[in-house]
Amino acid sequence: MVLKPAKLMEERMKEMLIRDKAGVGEGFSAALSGDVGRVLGDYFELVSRPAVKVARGEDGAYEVTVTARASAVKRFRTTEELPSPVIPS
Amino acid sequence: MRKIVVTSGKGGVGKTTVTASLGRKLADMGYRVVLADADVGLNNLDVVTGADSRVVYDIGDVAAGRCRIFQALVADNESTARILPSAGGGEEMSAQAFRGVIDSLTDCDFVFIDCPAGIENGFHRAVSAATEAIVVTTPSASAIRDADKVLTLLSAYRLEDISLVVNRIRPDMTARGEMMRADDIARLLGTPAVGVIPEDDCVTLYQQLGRVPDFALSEKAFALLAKNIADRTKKCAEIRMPLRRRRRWF
Repeated sequence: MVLKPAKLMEERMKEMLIRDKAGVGEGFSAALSGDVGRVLGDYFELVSRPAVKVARGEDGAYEVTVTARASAVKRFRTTEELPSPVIPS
Repeated sequence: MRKIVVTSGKGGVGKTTVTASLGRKLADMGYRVVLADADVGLNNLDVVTGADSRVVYDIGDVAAGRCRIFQALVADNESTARILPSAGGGEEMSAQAFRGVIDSLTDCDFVFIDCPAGIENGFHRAVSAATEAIVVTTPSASAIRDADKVLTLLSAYRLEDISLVVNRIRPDMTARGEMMRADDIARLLGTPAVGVIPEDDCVTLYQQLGRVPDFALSEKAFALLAKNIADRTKKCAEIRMPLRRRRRWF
């Protein structure tokens, strides 16, 4: 369903006001999302780039919410699966 | 006496129009109203009310002791409200001096302080003298953002009440979902909207001639706003556009 301009504007304003209150710019969220995505990408098969939301609570503390979708957990190679070391005689 | 500052942050959203129209409506209701211009550098309240040619003393003269407060008050031709103009003098006036002038207005029920745009000294001076605030915004992104910043600043002052007025709403566009509704803006800003003023050509047309007539949609909205302010109610009453009559052959 296509959102109406008023709804799009409301969503945009909501994000803008939260960003203003949190005191972080759009570039900050993008950089954080990229870094978090790289770390999570080592553990999960990410479907898309994680969404990072930074808000500021009433007490002034930052609340960081990361939402990421993954299709699978990456399989780690355990030490048992590794070829046994060749011990020189 | 209720001292209400009309502020916005962003310029051009209709602070002076709201101050003048709301003050006149309350004066029509029988209240004693003074409209004080705190926009010292770019004073416009006297122009909007048509009192500019009758200004002798201004708020700066009162603060400097060059005249008494009643000598500076100018009668409004269109209502029983009185105007306390600022004629460009007194830019260096302190917040305490301004507050002293406003507090000396004892024989009135409402004092509306027209705040300058921005959040600098003029803003502080105007807000310090008030006990209540009305934040004016329009449905544009920049006005909403500035209103949010102003609301954050206002929370630092000891104000009894803060309300929102959404100006220049286009009911046809909000009905089609092309413009944000006033209640959505109020929810976004976390402040109750006590007035929703529709965009009205009558304001542009009649403001130059004197007073906007009562049949204008904006005047009806100002009447609802005045009632809300007088009764201290927080009803977000929107004026409905009159339905177009369908033309038929028979």
